[in-house]
Amino acid sequence: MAVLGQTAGGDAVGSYACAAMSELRRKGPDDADHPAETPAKPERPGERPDMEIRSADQNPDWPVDRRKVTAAQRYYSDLVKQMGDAPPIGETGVVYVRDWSTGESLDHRHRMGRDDRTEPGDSNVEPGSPDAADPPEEAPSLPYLDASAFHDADDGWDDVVAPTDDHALPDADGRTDDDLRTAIGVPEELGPDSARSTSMDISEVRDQIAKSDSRRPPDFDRDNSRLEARTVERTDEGWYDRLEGPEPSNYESRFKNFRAKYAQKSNGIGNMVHDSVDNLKGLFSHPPTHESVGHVPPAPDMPAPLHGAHTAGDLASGVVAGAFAVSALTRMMQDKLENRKDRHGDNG
Amino acid sequence: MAITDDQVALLRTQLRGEFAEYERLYAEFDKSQTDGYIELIGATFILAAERRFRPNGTRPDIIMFVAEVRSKTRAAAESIDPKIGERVLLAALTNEPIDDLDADAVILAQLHLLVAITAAEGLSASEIDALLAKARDIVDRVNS
Repeated sequence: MAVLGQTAGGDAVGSYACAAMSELRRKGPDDADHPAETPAKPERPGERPDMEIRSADQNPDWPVDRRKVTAAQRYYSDLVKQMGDAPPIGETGVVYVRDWSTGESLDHRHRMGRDDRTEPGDSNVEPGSPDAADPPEEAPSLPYLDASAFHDADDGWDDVVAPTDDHALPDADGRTDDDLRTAIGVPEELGPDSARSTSMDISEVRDQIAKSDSRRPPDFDRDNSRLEARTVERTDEGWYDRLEGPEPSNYESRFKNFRAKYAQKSNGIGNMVHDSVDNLKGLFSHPPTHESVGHVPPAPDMPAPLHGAHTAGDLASGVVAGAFAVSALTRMMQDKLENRKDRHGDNG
Repeated sequence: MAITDDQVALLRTQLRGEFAEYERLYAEFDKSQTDGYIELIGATFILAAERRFRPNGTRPDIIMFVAEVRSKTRAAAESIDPKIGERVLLAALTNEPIDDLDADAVILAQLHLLVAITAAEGLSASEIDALLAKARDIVDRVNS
């Protein structure tokens, strides 16, 4: 079972998204009331990770991601207000991921809405720092994600990394995230991680305000406890700009751009291209789809998805929806609380 | 140098998923034609990206597509650096600079994503031929 998702941010929204994704994976897309019997669990350490998280911070050239964060936060806060059923703010959301781009195992532990970063083991802490928790002898039992999938004997808990904590610092103009959070209207209870916007230009913040004031969020599907991510992306152009570039018919300039790059290629690239043939075969393993982001059945060399489970493509496309799946998240957090009580007693 | 029929035929087999035929043709392929072959990949990649992501494509669409392709097989995940994959797709559509990217990684990402797009789009043999013909024309015009 391989689940791959990309979140707009690595922090609070990422936690929401991951939690909701795992919930969706467990329960399936169309049968939310009939959960799969068992959570996904890779067969052995080091097996393909269940989830890939790549935060906007790792690719600062994609400012749209940051807007997605903001949009998600606004939707989320709106939904909480509408439903009057906020998730347990302050509870720790635990997400275990491996970053495929770096190969690092990440241990994301986030307080939902608050991040005081003072409680070892429950906050994001730098490995080796005085605040770092001792590695547990056994991976903790999680309701839906098994930590052993992401922490094997070789690169396990020692590789725990934490996102930077620089959002508390003022930017070049003296604005802190709190300032920007206030500017874009993120509720206080969503905490400092909810507005990691230090690189967001103030004009972009104003843009956000203007757009959010003039456009309605997509309707929340209360029955299915999820939103349609594509509605967010495709029908509300104000949230995501379409790609702009040269006239579509002007291919030459783009080709010249590539050709200049090809001039730097190594002598062995011809062989590398040829050697890629086996890799390319797997790309034909799926029936064609005409959807830009659509359902992608698992490849033959991957374990079959569990009953009712999403495929990787579903989750990649549904991550925004996952971020907004408030009631699903609430259920998960309630389950998590129960789980912790079971393991640690009422003080856990 | 103009694109040759051999270069077109070789790429056609890859885009059609005819890998046994690819191996046969590659064995006879004049390896000195590799440069032109890579250029043909690049031009075809631009056209395929246009087909896939125009007119309504967004940056998140690109992110998701690359993630989708990488999720298909372990080999794909290992072969395509997500950041490079996203950026070469963006460069194909918007001409954004890719000066800082490794050339070999760019070429490999383009080949994988090109094949992924043609597979995902379910292009017919005639559509692939039309794509290749147009790409060949672009390369020849720029190189002439």
